[in-house]
Amino acid sequence: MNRETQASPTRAEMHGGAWRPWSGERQPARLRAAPIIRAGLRIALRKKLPLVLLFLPPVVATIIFSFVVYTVAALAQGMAPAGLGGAGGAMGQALGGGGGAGDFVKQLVRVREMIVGFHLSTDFFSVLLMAWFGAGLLAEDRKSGAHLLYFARPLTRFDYLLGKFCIVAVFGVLGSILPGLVIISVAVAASPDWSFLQQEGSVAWKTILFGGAWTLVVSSLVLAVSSLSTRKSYALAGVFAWFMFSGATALLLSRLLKDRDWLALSPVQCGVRIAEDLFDMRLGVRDWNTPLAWTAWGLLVALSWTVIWWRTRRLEVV
Amino acid sequence: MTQAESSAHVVRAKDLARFYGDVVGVCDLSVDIPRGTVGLLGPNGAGKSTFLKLLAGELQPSRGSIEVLGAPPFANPAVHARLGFCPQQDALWDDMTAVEFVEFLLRLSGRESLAARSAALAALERVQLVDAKDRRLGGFSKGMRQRVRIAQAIAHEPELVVLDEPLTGLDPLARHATLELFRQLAAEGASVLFSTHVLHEVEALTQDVVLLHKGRLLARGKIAAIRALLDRHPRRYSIRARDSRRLARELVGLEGVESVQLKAEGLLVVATRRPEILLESLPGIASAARAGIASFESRDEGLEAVFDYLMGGAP
Repeated sequence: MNRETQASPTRAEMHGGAWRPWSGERQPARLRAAPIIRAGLRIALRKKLPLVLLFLPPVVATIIFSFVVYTVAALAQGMAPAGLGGAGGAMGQALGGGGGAGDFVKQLVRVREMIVGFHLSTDFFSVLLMAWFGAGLLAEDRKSGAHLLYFARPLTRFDYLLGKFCIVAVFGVLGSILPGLVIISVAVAASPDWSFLQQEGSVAWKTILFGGAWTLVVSSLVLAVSSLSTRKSYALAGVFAWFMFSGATALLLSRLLKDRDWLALSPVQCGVRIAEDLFDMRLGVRDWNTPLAWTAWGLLVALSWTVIWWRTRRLEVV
Repeated sequence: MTQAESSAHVVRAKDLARFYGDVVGVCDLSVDIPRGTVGLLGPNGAGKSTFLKLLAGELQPSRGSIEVLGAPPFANPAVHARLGFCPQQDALWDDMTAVEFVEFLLRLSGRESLAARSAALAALERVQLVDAKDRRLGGFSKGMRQRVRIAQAIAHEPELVVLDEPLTGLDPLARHATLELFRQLAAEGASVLFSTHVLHEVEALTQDVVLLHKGRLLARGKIAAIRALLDRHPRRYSIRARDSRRLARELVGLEGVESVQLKAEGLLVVATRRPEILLESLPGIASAARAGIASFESRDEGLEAVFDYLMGGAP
């Protein structure tokens, strides 16, 4: 440690006139969010019970869908797992097997439908995951005053928020994108000569796009609600209240006013519409304005980040 | 060495003000804080925490300016790298172990992994928590949590350590150890600025204080120098004597003595505006009167009394 001694005009009793100029070397600017992400994930992974409870449904769903996709892909080749009684068996028939090579393309389309169906059915669980692990990120910092430690370091608000966002987003990716990619991998592996990849390969990037957009929307919303809350429990309640209230309002208004565009009020309904359009599917009668659904998602993200930015500016006052 | 670094002051505030809506945090505060150990004093709501947050760069001034180590601290990484801050709030993550917590904050400061780990361990050793380094913070007592907060503030060997109520929650042994740590930091050359309500502990550590009241500067300097400015309050001394009545009779006529009160069990309280005359004359007077002085002590030289006087005279 470098020390230097100099005369001090106001010499403190215990100080003896010595002072210590800072001898360290300031690190060049780099991604300061990384330690926040690492620490946040490390803490989250220590909570074993929530991890098991919240990841179990997506994992089970992934296994089941993978098996079904594998079976359908096998049936497309005129084969079926022995456990299903072969292509001509009851299960094989139910899954559309035994139709011959002419149905091959249809079967691949069915695989795509299943993947989209999987996305929509696991959205709920991904919301659960992101809400549980993200709701306390800003609220608990506010409650404990931890931001005082963050911002006494060479850390910008952007780094701080990026770190927090990435923590939530990791759970979004694990709950939304990764299972979809696993099922696609199964479909690719089960289809002959990579035919699924050649014919339906776009499903992979569409899965990433859709899952990424969904993760962005939900993560932003979770963080915004967290920034408005003083406790994790309040933030959790707020997130679910938002989804339920917006969903109910969207359905009610669209039926009362007989205008499906009102469905844009619900992020979930927007997700369904966007998935239909993105994967070129028709899952129901929800034929409404796709750009409006994207716009609604975009506005929700913008609103969320406006709130987060404003609220984290106010963090200083705590 | 830059000019700022060679400056004798670690903090320079000029007309500093910070408002929370209609509430005044600090107002028109102009103060230069020298290198060394300085105590920041004031009652609740005096603006101590606001001032410390302003100088730690946690808050932006509403008006005026503040410089810490020669630069404005708000959102200034160069200042934050040289400054250690221990907030009053709990601010710990219960699921982390002590060493992970300190290491994490060091990583935020830009330390590499191994360097951060060894610095974290060294800091925990300094606050005597190295045995509990792998325990989760959620299981720590209040005093241990306080020591962890202090550890993170000193781990990167900052030039200026700012501590908001660092003695709160500590038992007497831990208080003693913490004060000793502050002495060591000062001896190593770090400047230590801390706020506290425990006045006698400030006296044990430093004679240099800043007193705030209602967001404004009440006084700054050595305790004795501040006391000397309080001319309107006569100095009060307690004298215990075998024959206190006779001694009282002799002291009443002494120059500068305003009053002599006889208390129980041979105790006298003398108020004088010329303490130097009293101190000079007392041995002779006591001897001549055969009063038999058993004890003599000042009643208002201490910080507590200075603080009370200043508070009483504050607007």
